[in-house]
Amino acid sequence: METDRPDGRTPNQLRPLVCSCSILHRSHGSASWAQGETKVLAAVYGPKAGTKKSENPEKASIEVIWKPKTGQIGKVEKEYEMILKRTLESICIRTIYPNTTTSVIVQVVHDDGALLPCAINAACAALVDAGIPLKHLAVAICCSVTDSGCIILDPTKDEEEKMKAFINLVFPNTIVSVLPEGSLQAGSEPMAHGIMTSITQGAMSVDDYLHCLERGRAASARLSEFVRKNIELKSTSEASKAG
Amino acid sequence: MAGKGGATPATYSPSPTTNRKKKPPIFKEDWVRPDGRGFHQCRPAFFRTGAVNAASGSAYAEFGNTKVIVSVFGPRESKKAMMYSDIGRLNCNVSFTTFATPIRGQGSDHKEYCAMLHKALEGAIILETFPKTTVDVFALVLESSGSDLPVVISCASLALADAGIMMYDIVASVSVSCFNKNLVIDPILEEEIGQDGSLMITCMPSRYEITQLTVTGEWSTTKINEGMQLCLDACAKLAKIMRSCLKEVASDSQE
Repeated sequence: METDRPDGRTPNQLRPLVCSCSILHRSHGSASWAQGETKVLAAVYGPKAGTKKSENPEKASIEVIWKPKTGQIGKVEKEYEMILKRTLESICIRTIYPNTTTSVIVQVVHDDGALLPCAINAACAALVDAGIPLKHLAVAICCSVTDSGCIILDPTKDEEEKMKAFINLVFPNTIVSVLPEGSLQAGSEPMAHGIMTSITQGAMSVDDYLHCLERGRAASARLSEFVRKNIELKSTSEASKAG
Repeated sequence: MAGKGGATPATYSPSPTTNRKKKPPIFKEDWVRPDGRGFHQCRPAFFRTGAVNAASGSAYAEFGNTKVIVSVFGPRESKKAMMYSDIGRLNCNVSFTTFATPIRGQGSDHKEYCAMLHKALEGAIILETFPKTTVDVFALVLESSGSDLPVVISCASLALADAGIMMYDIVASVSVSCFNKNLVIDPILEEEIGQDGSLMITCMPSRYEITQLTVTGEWSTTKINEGMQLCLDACAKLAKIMRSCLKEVASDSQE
């Protein structure tokens, strides 16, 4: 089932990706992530001394602050903060800096659909830039289901409004990891075949969900490649500067 | 002061009462759930509609020690400031009593519950049946003992049905926690604290459609499938209980 999309993309095609790191100088790490017209800026401060409320003697705490493009923070933004917090907690090695807090500030520059995946990707890139120890990288993607049951990836704002339902998926990128081999297994399967976060909106059948999962995983491989290339470019340029 | 002969012992050893209690070997291979349930066993559920007289519809739900009351008001005229809409609006609010959580006022940590409740119900309500109007759903958690959001969603669905709001189907919600290789349905607070990951499904059992699916933590595909099946089966059973509750009320009112 082929779908004509306003921007001429195929259902499985992602919008052009742009990622740039270390764009803010006062923060410990920062990154800007753009998918088409959707653009998000993420900054990381920390690890710093934990506040009374958030400190944990066993694990590091992660604090997420979502800044909308305009206006006050609402219920949706609070939900985004929570999703982002849980996702980042599952990729960070939190036992290394107990009793500390790492703040991740996410600033929405422009929203043209698939905002949450864009923010997750930006936050992940910013954590890498800040040198926060991670188990592995995470890649997020948005899939949406049309009324006819067709699945399209990375929808724009206009497409999102016409959709019956959509899903935000976060996959672990565990081709390379700092953890020992055995810990990358989830049961009998490698964690690369797993999923870290999934948030749905709208009503869909179970089969639709599973199809989205398959499509999302296939597309996440391309995203993973892009993220890795970006990080490698950054590390090689830093090494040459140091040399 | 320290020089007074023999006034204080040279070393300090804590008395047996001040020793920290060792946690039970929970979440090991052979652990038993704190409340004695099986891994795939839900807490006993109790529902009652018409708990609040002033509301258009209301429901009270009790899952073990988790107690929730939901009131539905409307459909009523949307505020002047809101733009014209040819479909109805849904306004959801979840609040906790100060005594709901073990630590006073801890309920404010769950600010995302309002948006999640809205998402879960939005797909099930036929919003086209009340254009230009708003339906308000107010949930109050009286006692929090784990799996709060699924209980709130199920209770809200029952309250909406009690208020006569047109829905495609009743909405049931169940959550599953993952510990190593074990999947535990309807976790309590102690289990939620130590979980490796959680999966919450909100579905319309008669239509076999999902209105919300939330996954956190790391899951493999097989685990997700297993967890989903577990949740969907539990949702179907829960929906039966909810329907029987509505039928009882209807038969009582006819008499």
